[in-house]
Amino acid sequence: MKRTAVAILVMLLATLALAQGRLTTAISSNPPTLDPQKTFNGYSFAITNQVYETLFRVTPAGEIEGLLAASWEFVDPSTLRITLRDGITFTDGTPLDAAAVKASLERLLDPATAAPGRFVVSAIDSVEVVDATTVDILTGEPFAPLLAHLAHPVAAIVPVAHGDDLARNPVGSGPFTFVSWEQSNQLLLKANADYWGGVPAIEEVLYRIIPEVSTQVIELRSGGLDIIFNIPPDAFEALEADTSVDTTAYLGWGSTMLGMNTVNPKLQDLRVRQALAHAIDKSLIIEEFLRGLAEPGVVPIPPTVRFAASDLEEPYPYEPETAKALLAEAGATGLKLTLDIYQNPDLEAVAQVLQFMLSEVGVDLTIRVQEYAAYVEQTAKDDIELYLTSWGTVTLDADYTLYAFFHSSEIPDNNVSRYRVAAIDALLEEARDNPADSTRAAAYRDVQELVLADVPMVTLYYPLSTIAKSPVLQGEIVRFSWINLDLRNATLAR
Amino acid sequence: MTLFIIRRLAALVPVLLGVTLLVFAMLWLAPGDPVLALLGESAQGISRAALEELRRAHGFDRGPVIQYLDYLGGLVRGDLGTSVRSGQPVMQEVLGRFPATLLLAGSAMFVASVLGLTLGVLAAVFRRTVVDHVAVLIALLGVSVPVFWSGLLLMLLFALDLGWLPASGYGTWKHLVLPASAVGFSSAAFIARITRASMIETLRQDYVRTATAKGLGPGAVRLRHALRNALLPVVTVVGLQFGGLLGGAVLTETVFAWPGIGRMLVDAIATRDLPLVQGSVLFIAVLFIIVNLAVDVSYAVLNPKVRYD
Repeated sequence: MKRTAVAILVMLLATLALAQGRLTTAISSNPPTLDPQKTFNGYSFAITNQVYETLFRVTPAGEIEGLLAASWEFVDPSTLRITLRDGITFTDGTPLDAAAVKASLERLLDPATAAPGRFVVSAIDSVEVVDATTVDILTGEPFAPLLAHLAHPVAAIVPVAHGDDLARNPVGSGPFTFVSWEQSNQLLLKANADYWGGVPAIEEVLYRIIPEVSTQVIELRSGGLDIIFNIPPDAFEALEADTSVDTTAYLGWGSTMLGMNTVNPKLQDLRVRQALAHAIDKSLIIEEFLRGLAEPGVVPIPPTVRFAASDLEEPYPYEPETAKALLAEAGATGLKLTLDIYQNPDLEAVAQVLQFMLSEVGVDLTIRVQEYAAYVEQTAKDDIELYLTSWGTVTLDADYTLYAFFHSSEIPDNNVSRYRVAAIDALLEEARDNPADSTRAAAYRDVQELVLADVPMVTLYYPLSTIAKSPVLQGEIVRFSWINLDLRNATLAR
Repeated sequence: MTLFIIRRLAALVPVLLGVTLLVFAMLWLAPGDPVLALLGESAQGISRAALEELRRAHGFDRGPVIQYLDYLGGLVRGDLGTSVRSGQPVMQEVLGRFPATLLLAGSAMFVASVLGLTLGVLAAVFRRTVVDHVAVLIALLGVSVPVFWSGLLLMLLFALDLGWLPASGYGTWKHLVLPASAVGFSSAAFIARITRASMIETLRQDYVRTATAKGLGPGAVRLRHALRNALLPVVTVVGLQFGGLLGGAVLTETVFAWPGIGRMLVDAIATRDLPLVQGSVLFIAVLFIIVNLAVDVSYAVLNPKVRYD
């Protein structure tokens, strides 16, 4: 009898200890797969980023550091030589060596894999094994932002021998290993006892799949969750007032821009584009509609992105009278424009504010909302006028956004503004050809200045991302996005 | 009876064929590219060439007729295909969610039947009294209050304030109480109204008066004689509601984070995961038809006058 009681007590204490070491968080949707090469979905990446590792990653300060890579150099502008950390293995025991890196990247590049994120690394031509821990990554043409692209979650190194099994039974080298996954319900990870960077203090991470934000908030407040992300402004305000919850709003990699088709006859005249820029009160949008959860934008990339020229000042302050004068000068009075957007509550609200602001300067704006795929088809048509987009510089390198939006080769895919300037093309290419940071910084600064002067788009704001957590969780790092939750040095003080 | 069941099951084939054609046509005609829908807005920066390649890899570059016939070919061989988004067999995806759906539908119908029958019988027996009015009011609330609101209220009360039950999730009986009550309450409302109307109708019948005249007590008359005969339309409503719930209770599943079929289907539609949408709708259609058949068969059991030959 006594022995049974003791056994029960021990079991209870063990459960309690386990519960103390378990972090519970929520994601809004069931991840489609846990094979990072077979998806481009944030819910998948949130998990795969714990289980797998990339060669490089971006530090909280925005610099690039080696993760699986111990050291690296560009032996020539098209060849990146990487020396891997010694002795790393996947959790199945197989070595994560040069051959494994080659096999993983080749699987990602193979068209048969149908990797949705292949475009992130499409600059890579081939991968060659130099010795057991050294690989060369060759790009057909010089591609200076390569390190940042290799830091993207799709470029995680996977043990290819597991093939399609990775989708449901992921195996990586990361700080946490996969335990179980109940579809649409919950997913459990446990600390990797052999992790090369030191075993995490948190023993288990439970991801509960909770689609409704209100439910997540109630769960957080009733102790069912320890940390939640991406809380909308209304709910965030309420949580800020709750003393039992810690809240943070941080600048991520996003920017929201109003783009203008520079070859459309209505928008060809620079004065018209300047007038539209002067007509927009960015701080009103931020204060009234985003409850202060954004910073006003000037250049197209937020200050968190490498080579953002964040010191450049707003050339087009809110001046409705100047806007009217510019429109009159350009002979564009009674201007009627169409704004294309995709279904997204934030963008729809912003579009309505823009409609009001532009009407104040005599511009009649029609808003056309479509689902995302249909919107993309619309942007391919040359008669597009204005478009609103919320964009992420997910590599945190200026190239990702500036090249996509302003290089003439990206017309009409990403360069929806049809913005074609030879000097800008040359600067963007120079910054790709030359891995030296100083050269790149100077080139990108020039691009950002030219773009500000020419107004192919108005950067409205950089949204802030939100976190609410129980104070028991300490030491976690969120690098620019909730999908990069770094728990390696986090602790739970229950 | 057996012949009736066989005939009804045979009718499944053309119905299901129609379902596949309809679903396929709807998804095909909806604007937008399936590959873009699959990637979502997070895939900004992708080039058109890369999109083309993905389209080919998933077979979206083939004509709609070929794609449809291909699908039917698989179906005949018992292959529901593979989800585009997850790469997993559709059958596995659907069956993986079914236990949660069945559990919620079953327990919600239990709550609904007990509550609905009780309210309905009380309202009919005490017609035009306070009892009747209160019962009708409760039923009206149940029909009118949306589950995403009542669900949150239940959570605030029982999870946050009282701390008796978990707010959301799936796993233990405690997780089941709130969603089953939320769904059960709104279904109970329909059942109560039908029961009331049917009971009032039955209580007027001659055989009820006869039963009372031969000296039976009011309880026996109402429950043994009247209620059994009044149940026929109620069974139809219960059956239809149960069939509907087996298709997933999307709002409830969303609010309570319940891992059922409804949420999966909505996600699949949003990402244009055609094989998964087709497979789930087919599965739901088969269940619905079977439940309906069961309702028809139960008529014969409840009322010996009903014959199916």
